[in-house]
Amino acid sequence: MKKYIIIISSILILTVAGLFIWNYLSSFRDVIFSINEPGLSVDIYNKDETKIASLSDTKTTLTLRDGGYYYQVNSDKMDKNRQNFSVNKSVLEVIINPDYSSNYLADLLSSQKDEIIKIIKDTYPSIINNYNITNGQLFSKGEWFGAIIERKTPTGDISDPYKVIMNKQDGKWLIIHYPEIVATKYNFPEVPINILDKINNL
Amino acid sequence: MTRKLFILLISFSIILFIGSYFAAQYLNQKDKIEVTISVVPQDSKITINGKLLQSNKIYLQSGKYMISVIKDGYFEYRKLQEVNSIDNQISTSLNQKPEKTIGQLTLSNDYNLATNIYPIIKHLPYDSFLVKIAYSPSSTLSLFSIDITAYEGYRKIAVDKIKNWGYNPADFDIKFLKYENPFKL
Repeated sequence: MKKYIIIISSILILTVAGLFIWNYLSSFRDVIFSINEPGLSVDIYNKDETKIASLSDTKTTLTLRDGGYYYQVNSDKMDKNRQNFSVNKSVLEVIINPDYSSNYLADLLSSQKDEIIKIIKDTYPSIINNYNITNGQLFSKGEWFGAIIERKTPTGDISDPYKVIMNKQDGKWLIIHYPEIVATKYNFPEVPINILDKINNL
Repeated sequence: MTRKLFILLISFSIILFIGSYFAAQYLNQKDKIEVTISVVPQDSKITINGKLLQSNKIYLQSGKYMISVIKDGYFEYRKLQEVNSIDNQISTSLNQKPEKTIGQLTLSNDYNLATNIYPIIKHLPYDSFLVKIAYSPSSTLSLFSIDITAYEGYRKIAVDKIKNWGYNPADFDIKFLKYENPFKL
């Protein structure tokens, strides 16, 4: 009888241990990291902020356990904010395609600002003199531009700020839709939602 | 001997059962017309003289029958139909009912359904001295829009109000009433 108890207990212990080992091993997956910006190096961190890898090749495969991670790029040209991602059975590829940094975008804008303002003024010649164009910024990789257009008012009066959004296509800046008080995915369906959010917060 | 008798009885019962089934079918179809009913949407409920059909084929004697086709979200089709050896095909497409407006949903038991999909409804209508925010009267679950009525300079305040409630204005189809966009050429 004692012998049977020992056998059954051993089987149970082995089964439970086996399940734990299987569960642990099956939580690891091969994740492909694709870097879309040539020459960019990227550090991968786990949720405990421990660096677990540095990547510079355009495609790298890492074996990672399910969970939360983030990456940071090593380039002054790119946005260095941490980008969170998670690894699970439905996420097997992480595409690293960071936006340009705000400083780099500001430098880019300085050489294009006059051209952009001229396009806005030429598009609305009859009314634009009554408005100020402010807070102009480039977004993403410099292909999106947003600014506020606000009516000049006597001191104390308030007016509605309009959002103008432009897109660079084939080297030319285009106003893709007339300025609106609020930029939404309905009146600017061509614009990515993250760009709309940034422009609404200008 | 007993075993043989048993097998014989079982076989006889099976034959009798199958025979009865086909006989009943024959009697049911005898002197009747095969009527085929095709409806769109296909999963509509079809009743003939109040009896629910299990298939789209039925055997009927010549005469007039009340055909009814129903499905949720569609107008009922109801017709007194003459059935004879020539008119033995019935086909119809149900017309879809207009979608309930958010206003109708919020006044009914579907309030939770509407607020689960558009939680902002809980804040609407919002009416302050300078700003009015409401869902558009024509809003439905598939086409939701927000109407803002505000004086110049306060329209942004209305948009900020939506932000303060914890929603992203970029996600909504926002229309400003009593307003003309000066940049709309």
